[in-house]
Amino acid sequence: MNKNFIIAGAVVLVLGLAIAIGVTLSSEPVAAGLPEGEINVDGESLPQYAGENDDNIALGLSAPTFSAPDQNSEIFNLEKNGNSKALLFLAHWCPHCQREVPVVQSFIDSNGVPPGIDVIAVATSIDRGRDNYPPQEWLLREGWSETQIYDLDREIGEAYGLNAFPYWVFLDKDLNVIARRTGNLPEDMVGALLVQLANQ
Amino acid sequence: MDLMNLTILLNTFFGFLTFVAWVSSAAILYLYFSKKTFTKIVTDQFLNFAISVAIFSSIGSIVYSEVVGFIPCRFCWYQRYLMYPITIALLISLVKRPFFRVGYISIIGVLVSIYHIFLQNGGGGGGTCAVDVPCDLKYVDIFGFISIPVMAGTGFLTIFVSLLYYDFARKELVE
Repeated sequence: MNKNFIIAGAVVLVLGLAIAIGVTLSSEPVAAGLPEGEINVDGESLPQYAGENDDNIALGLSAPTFSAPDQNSEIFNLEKNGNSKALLFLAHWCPHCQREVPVVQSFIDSNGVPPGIDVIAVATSIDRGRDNYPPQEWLLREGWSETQIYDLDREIGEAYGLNAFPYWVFLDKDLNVIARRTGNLPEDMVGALLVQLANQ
Repeated sequence: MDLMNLTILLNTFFGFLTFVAWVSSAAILYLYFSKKTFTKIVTDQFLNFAISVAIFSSIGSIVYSEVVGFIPCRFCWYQRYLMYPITIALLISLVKRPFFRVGYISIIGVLVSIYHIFLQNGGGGGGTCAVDVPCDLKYVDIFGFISIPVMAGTGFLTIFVSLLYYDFARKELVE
């Protein structure tokens, strides 16, 4: 190799390394840790979400109950309280979840949560090495107004048959599955499903 | 150095090299279309540049998966399947010159990277992320647009235009 080429290459690499070291030293450490708390899941796990065939296998099944920490590390219990539940499983690194949260929040801001429903965001598959960490800061930025809980070991996600994000699980007042859906739902569909859930 | 700082260091370093590669590619394309030529020694540096880019792209992919711990998704693997043989072929071309033409398959890498970028930005339909290692996951997101497939695509493109110019300039020298 030509000597000048090697010198030019070395200059570029040293410059790149110097910039990288500078950026690393000046970057703010991620201050916030994750919420803490013990997670308990009781009851039989739901089968894995089965796409278009899911209504045939999951409809009417009794969902497991659970307890898990919220964003303040206070333990939230999912239990029968007379309200239907809309659980939204989210991964902070998933671009579709990043799009879904503002859509849902926009519906809630415009219409409010229909009476008789608890909307619960379940942050799961949390990975420090992935984009948009930590999830509680993301939900704070998005102005998430409803309950949020942290499935630190993906235990709840697995018990609810999670296999893709975003993942909705709708439960009636007795915590039986009414419907499960994956993927981005447009705002009008989110609204229609919540209203339908309220009328159960 | 903890993993978070190492990731920032590597992202910034490879992000910087990506910018350098963009500028270099634009300059090389200008030379190609304006049909400018240089002496043999200078012309040979375009091949050396392509080899350097291939080596750094290969090392970068290995560092991200083996040191930082980013698990490659399916499309990351497709890009690796292309980049590693290109690197080997270009190294062989140092002693067996015609081997450099194997590097032209980097154009396929550009197309794979573009599709991967499309997936990462919500294309491909479905609107879902798989639980394990989905191809729409962005491990790296520098300035909101430099992700791993953007880096890989830049590497493929730079290799392609460098070889294109080298091939052209070499023929001009012979004539």
